[in-house]
Amino acid sequence: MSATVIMETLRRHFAHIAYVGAVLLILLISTTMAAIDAPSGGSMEMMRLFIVIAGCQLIGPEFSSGTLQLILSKPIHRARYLTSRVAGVVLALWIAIALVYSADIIARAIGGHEISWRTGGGAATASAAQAMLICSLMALFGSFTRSYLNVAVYIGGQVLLSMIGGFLQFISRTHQGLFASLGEFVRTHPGVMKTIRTIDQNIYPSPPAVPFDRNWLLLVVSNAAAALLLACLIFRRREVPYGAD
Amino acid sequence: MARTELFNRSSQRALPVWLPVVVVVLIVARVISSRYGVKAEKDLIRWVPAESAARMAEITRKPILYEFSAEWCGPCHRLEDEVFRDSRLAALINEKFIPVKLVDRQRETGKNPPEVARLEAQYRVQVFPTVVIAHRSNPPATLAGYQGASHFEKFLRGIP
Repeated sequence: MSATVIMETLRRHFAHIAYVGAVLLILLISTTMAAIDAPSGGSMEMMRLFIVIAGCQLIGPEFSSGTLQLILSKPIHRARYLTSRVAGVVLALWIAIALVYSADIIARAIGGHEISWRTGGGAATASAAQAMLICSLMALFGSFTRSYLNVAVYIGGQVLLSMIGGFLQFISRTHQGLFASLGEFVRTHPGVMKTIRTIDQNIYPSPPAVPFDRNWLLLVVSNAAAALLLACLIFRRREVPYGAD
Repeated sequence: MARTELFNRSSQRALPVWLPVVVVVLIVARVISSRYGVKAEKDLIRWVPAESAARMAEITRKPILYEFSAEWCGPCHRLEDEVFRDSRLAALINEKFIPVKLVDRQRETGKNPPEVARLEAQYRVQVFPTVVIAHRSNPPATLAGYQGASHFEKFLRGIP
């Protein structure tokens, strides 16, 4: 990895008004929630949205601003550049996550509420792992799409998988009419629904039921690494036209 | 040619060797780790009230898993600790069955709630814990007593 690219990515985040504003907003919400003793880790979904927004800018803006051309004109490996970009964004997100969960603990301590270290720590760790997965997926989708299409692929994929899962569930209960034979097929081939569910759980894993669930963390981190490897493989062949978005 | 270029360090399009190594190591670790569940602080089963279980079973076409237990029963607590708090086994139960927990109160209060009494009579429950898998098209499968998590898992996986 390239320290220059990581530091530049971090610098850009901390100098960006949108990043600072979003972190402050989540901090404010997290502190308020902790002050009224709302369940610890409640800001995890909000954090996920923030991760998606931050992660979708991994590749797209690089094309339009020309930084990619500038950096690739120097002798730096493409894969090294991409992994460093992902590491930089993930690091910026980890700092935000640490700030948010620290604020949660401080607000609870000031308010005299019980601090659930295990639940809060588990939620923070899960958010940190999710940041790795989402950023790697954004890098993967961004390695073959243009500009911000990666976020469309990510959200569209989630919606599509839910729709397919729901549709299969519906037709599996159909015994007559238009979908009767399809329903029979789904019932006799449970692997179809299982495959859809497995894909869904691997790309869009729900938060773990147990804090610090070793299996869940390994699933997320190994998928993140696999996505990053695929992103690097595709990015090797990617042409870099100026102003591509 | 593309293949030799893949790990050729002088090429700008080369792939770092550490990345595929990390992926393989993580996937192997994940496969090994997934064989062992993670223990939670509390029960991970999404229990369904006995009254709504039949309707849910009809909608989802899943069999109902009745767990008959009692507060004073030691093996029931072992079952809860070793199976219902295990992330892997709990996920298996939540995915395959409609789980219903029925706690016998005969010893404490002298009588049971009507639904518990009816189901205990229907499935001829003699010991605690007893687990009954009720499917509308198959005869019920019963496991009386608790003989360890692996035996329990074998019983669950044997249900079609």
